[in-house]
Amino acid sequence: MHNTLREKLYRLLLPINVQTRNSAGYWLNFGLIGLIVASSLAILLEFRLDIAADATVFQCIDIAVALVFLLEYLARLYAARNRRAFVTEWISILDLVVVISSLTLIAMPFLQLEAWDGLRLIRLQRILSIFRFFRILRLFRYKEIMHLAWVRVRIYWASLLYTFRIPQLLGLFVAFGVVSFAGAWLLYWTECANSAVCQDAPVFDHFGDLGNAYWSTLIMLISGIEDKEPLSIVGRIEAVVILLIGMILIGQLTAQIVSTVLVRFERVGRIRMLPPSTRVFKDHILILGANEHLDNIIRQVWTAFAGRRYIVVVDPNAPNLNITDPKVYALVFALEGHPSDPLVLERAGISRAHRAIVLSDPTIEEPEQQDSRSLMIAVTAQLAGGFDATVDGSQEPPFYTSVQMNQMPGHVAKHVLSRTNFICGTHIAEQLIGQFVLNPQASDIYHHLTQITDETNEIYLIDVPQDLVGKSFQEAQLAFLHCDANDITLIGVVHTNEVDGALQPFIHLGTDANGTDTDAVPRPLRREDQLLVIAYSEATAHLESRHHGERQ
Amino acid sequence: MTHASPASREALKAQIQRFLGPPATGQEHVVFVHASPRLPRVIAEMDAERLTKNLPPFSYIVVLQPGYAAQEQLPEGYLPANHAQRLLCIPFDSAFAASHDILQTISGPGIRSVVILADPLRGQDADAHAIIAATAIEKFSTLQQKTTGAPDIHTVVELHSSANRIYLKSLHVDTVVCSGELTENLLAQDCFSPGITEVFDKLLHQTPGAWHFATHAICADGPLGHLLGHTYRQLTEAIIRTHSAPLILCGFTRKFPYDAHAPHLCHLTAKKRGVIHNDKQIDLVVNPGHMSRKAAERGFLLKRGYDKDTVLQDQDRLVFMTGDREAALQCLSQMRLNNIKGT
Repeated sequence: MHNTLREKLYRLLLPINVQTRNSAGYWLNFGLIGLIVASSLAILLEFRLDIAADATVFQCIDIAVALVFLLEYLARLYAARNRRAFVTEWISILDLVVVISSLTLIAMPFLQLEAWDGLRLIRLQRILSIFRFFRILRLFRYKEIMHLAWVRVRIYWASLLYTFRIPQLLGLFVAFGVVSFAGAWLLYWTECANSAVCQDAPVFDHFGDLGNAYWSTLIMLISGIEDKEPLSIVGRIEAVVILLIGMILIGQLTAQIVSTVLVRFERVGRIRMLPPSTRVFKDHILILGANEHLDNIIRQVWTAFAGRRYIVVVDPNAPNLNITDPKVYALVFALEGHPSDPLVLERAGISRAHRAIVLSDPTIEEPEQQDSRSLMIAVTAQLAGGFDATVDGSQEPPFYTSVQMNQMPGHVAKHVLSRTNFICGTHIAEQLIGQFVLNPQASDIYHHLTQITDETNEIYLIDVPQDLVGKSFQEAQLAFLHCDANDITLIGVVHTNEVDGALQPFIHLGTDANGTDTDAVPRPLRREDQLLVIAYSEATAHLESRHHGERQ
Repeated sequence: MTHASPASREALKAQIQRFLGPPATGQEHVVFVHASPRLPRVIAEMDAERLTKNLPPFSYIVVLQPGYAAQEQLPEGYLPANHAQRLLCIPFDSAFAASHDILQTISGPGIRSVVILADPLRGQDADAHAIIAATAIEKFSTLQQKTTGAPDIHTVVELHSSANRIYLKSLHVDTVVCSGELTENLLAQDCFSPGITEVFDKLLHQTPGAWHFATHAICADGPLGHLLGHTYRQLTEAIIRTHSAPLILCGFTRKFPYDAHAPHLCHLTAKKRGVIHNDKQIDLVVNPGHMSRKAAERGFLLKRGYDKDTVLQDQDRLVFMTGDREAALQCLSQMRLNNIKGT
């Protein structure tokens, strides 16, 4: 498909998710969500309030919203890859119902409905009004991004509570309120019980009045200075106790506020600490350990996921980790603790994490020992990830761990940690040096392919699009070549074959993907295969995979 | 760095000349600066590549790190075993002393490349020493080019930290391999495409018939001259339609006139984004299309817009993946694009 207006419109109107990079689409989606919510609230207001005076305003808003929804529906219909499928989708039917009901209601005064009796007209109006309410269901189209936004709000709130110690401060304020209230009543009762003393006293008993007692107790608690004193002995003892409690509470409160301010100043330029309530964290990236590569890895992950995935760094030195770019580190949290401690990993939400990256421990000098430690952390991470690392075929969603190594581990470690990928930079550097001497220009190509930026390509694994299942590798190459909407070059296939009763992936690069030379006909692509493609972003690669499917 | 006496320098020159043999033999050699535990594996990779192409293996000269006069002093595993006939070790201080005569001897007509490995015995200072050695080689190479018109020496430098890449920007070092940067990039890539490192491993591992990236220039008077004037799309389609063509076209490179302001601007942008450096006056276009045109509009990596319908020009280099470079070039040279739609 060429990069036409229809294609651009299609991409613009796609419901956004964590991979979306189209900023115009991002804002358009949020605008439409806002419009749906605002118009639904307007309908509610219209029903709840007496709006006779503002009826025109509401009508104007309703007409504008209905027209926007109509335009949106027509645009979606025009841009749809498969219009018949679009029209029959339940969400599109809902869109249409909402638009028609709104427009009919608006147009009713202009329609020739004199023939209808009043009751039928009222019934029609009521039904159409109910259908207007359905517009709130249109939010279902944006469920993914709304969920993400909700998660983000919850994480932001949890972080706010933790950073400003709001629960502790609230606790102190509650304690303060309880003590002042209880103290005032206690003093009031004590003084009233000693009314005989009060009556004989030459002076007026200040605490004999509840309002005065409450005010003076507050003064005693906060400042400790009050020139009005209870007249009875018991009352005076109580006042002393209240004074002492006041000193403790005010001391605590001051210490909490000062400490929060100091910590805030101290942590300027440092990564935010992970709040204790991490249950909201989901599909985040865990970085276990910190070394000189941490900053660049965070940047690369940030670029790869368009800055929309949370990153949690677990390291004993976490409180001292610095921010190098506030924009990149906006969704990065640090957790103090050793990454090999299952409890720490649990706190970091490993069972709900998307991936884990294990970095070498820089405090260990020997490379072999560094690798051993990394392996141990990888084992702990796999076990804490929710399933036994040694058992393949688990029903749990795959949780992959990438481990930085100085030397490639042996086959045993690779077999045991089947969902762990070992990255040995020095090993690849050796191969690169060997190749660059013989093929000097290749260096720029590998440099280009290994970097993650919006302007460079990377190699991605994507599912075989539905319409390419059963086609040859050559046919798939041609399909991608003539698809101008997304730039993708097909370079290989990962076939899944059964070996000793277990399915194993085999990478076939280039025309090797057609099958062996002995094969009479090229091997067709199967649904369970994966395609190796060069693309500008993961979103582009997967988008194309999905779009090929939609054209079916 | 100590200066060797003239007599010992002459002896060393004679030893190197004996090792390399007369220039007429056509024997190629590679010079390594600093021995390292990685050296045996790098040599093994190079030998494997030469073997796959049925070419005679290289000879290797290893310039030992300062403080090591003979290979016996090196820790175990720093030099490959069973390479005595094809490997000569020379001390660092003699080769890189004030005079260039030793360098001139080792960079004879058969020199293929100079590989400067990070010295593992230097710890944190390894990158600094590699940069100093690269400076010495490049200074010598530039001087040779000016005085005798000798071709530029292809230099490969290994660094640990990507932060030190900037120090090599002003030098004309051909290739910088940064293991730390590779680790960072691959760890991040593995994060969203688990197992992708296996693909790189497969692309980089030298075995007969293994697929790898290669480039080749299209010159008007060369065997691929007939491809000029056709678009990237037409050529790609022709390759795909050629049954069992031993290559996949992935892009092309194009040189463009030097723009004094471009490197500076490009560097500033790169610094802002903090990831990429492109100070060469060459556009590398991988997977061309509207995205590469967009990248050009942003003026970050590419200076001009390219897409699948870009017409190939003289001196462009094709970027392709192949399992057999010679067969791929033969396939391209025999390719006729007249029957492709739109040609």
